[in-house]
Amino acid sequence: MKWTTANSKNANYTENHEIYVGTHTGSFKKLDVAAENPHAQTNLQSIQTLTKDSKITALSYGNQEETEILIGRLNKFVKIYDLPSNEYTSNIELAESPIVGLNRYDGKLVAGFASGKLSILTDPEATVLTAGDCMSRMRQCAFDGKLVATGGKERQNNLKIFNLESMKQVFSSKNLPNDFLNLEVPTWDSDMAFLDVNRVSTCSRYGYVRYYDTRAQRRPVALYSAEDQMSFACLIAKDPYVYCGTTMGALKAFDTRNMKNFVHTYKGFTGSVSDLALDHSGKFIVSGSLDRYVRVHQTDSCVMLYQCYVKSKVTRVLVRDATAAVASRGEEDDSVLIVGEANGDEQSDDDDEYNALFDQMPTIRDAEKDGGDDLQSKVSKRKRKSKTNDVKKKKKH
Amino acid sequence: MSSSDSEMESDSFHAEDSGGDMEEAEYVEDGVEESAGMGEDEEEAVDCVRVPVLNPLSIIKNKEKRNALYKKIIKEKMRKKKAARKQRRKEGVPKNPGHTIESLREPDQTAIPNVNDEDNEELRKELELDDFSSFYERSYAPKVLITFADNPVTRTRRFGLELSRIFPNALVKIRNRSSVKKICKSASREGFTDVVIINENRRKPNGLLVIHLPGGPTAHFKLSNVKLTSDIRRNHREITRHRPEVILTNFTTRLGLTIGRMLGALFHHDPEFKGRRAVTFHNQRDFIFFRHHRYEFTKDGKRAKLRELGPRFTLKLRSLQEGTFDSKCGDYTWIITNKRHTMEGRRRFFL
Repeated sequence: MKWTTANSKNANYTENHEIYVGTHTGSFKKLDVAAENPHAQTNLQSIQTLTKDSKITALSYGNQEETEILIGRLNKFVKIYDLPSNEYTSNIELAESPIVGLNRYDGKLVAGFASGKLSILTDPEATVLTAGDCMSRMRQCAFDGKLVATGGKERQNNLKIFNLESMKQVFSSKNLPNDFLNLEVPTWDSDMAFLDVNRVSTCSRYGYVRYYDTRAQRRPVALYSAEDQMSFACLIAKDPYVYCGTTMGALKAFDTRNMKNFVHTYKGFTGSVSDLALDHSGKFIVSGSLDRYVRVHQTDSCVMLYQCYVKSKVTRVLVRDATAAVASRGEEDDSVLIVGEANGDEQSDDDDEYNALFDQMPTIRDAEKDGGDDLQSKVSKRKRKSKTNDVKKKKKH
Repeated sequence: MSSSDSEMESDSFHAEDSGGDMEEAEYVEDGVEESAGMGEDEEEAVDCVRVPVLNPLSIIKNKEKRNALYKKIIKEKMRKKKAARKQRRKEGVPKNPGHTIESLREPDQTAIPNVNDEDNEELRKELELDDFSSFYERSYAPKVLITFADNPVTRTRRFGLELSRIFPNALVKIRNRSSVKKICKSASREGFTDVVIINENRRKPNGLLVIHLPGGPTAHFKLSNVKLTSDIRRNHREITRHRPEVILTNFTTRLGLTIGRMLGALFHHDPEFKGRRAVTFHNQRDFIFFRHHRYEFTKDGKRAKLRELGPRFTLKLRSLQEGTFDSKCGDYTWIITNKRHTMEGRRRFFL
């Protein structure tokens, strides 16, 4: 296809996506791709209030249902944007800046700072974990909310995984062996993503993509390193593919089963790719770039489906499937209840209503289960916990 | 033997010539025959018959007469054209500007026809917040450091020296094998606001790196057609030390705006009009032409006479980078690598 600077949308792109964009100037906007005018932008933040340090440095969903967005800015402030009601619900000032990652675990806000600290906001004082002296990015595991990965520049800051439940470091990666001159291989884990609970992939501005299996070893199990330096700025993964954007405006897809070479190249960029997002199906990749465009590519055919000029340099993007969200919102309350009943007795820590509900249940099944596989029940426990917490939040709203 | 050969050749040529004649004759006859045949079938088709048109000039065998006739015909043509143009002008038909590459330019999504438009609110805000905002708020006077690639030849050094006459408050230093990153660090420590590095290749200046301090951005330009003051037969003594006026023209897109602001920020924001010096960065098809003039208004004050002072050179943007120089790991705001032919077009311009 001929390359242009014009806003475009491919006729085959009929997905009902909503794209949220955080920019360098600090504006936060929404692109409704399915709307009549797919390039219309709604500013969710008033432009007049922006200052020099309102650049958006972190943007992520606060829960699995993707109904709240956490926005971290250079000026230490975190805003929470609630999607069903379309308004800001709270404004929190953190201890440090810049914020490189924001999540919510167990209802508590978890923030990663560029200084290498990881703070969990609990009353009255924040719990602080130290991940090193520099952090480029912090990401939460989508499969298990209590796991977060951090990475930064230099050896002492390379990939580490923390368990927020036990407040402990559960994995730390190890650099490659020294090279043939017996010199240390320079490391800089600029971005990372979980492929599942155990497998993580990282990319680096020093031009490599590494793939770790935390069960197997501390060193990467597979890696790609570019001969001519490609400086990878951001990464997103959907098992078994890993997508990496470079600072020179290239977007490559890697297959973790064979990391010798990249499998796809996505085109159309004239500036550094600053952030990536995948939709739930993994068929569409949304990229934000410093050339002030947001683009959507089809992951398997590499066709550019959508391009929109958003006026400011994009730092973070998020994508959300609007149809799925609407559907789930309709039945959300019931489904959670059913889950609770079927699994019986797990007591959520602090919600009286649920305690009462679970108390009514027969305890016979309990004994049977405990005798069975311990591990499975643990896993299900986690999932349920996160869900019940989310319900709580909603009720509060 | 040789004579017989030549005879043979001449014979064969003759035969070919005659053959050619024969064919022509046959063709004409065919045409006649065909037309006759067609005429029997349908009368309308007669109009469409293609009869070979002979240029009357080519029949004339005398070269001088032929040329004279040709000139006469051309003159007649021009006269008619002129008359028609006069007629059009009388009737008030607007002039046809014709096509140029600029007029056929592919529309750019990021073009900014007017900064004060309603939907440019965000742009105006960004201009208030970006790296050059403090310069355009006139909060500081720029201080420029000019340096070179290692071991510059005399020509490059002289070019650097001439640039220092252009930028007010500039300092020329020999690089002394220092890295660009180190230069940036020490320059910002010493209070410089911009660093300009002239690269050279094959004993000619070929690249210009402009770094805005302390927070970037960094622009890399290709430098070509460098004409020093002496090359255009001027004397540098003509150049006064007054601060020049800066004219930035034709930077239309968002990227162009940034580049224009960046170049503008190398000069002092208060020109000294007494010096009548003007420095122009004119963008045309992504090439930025630099010229340096002294102007003088005519007595009626309607026109200005220009005298070029030199140097003159042409810039073309290669890349624009966030932050100070870091070519390997830095974020590029704009760069086109290894796919130039698909992204660049004859009618697509980025500035």
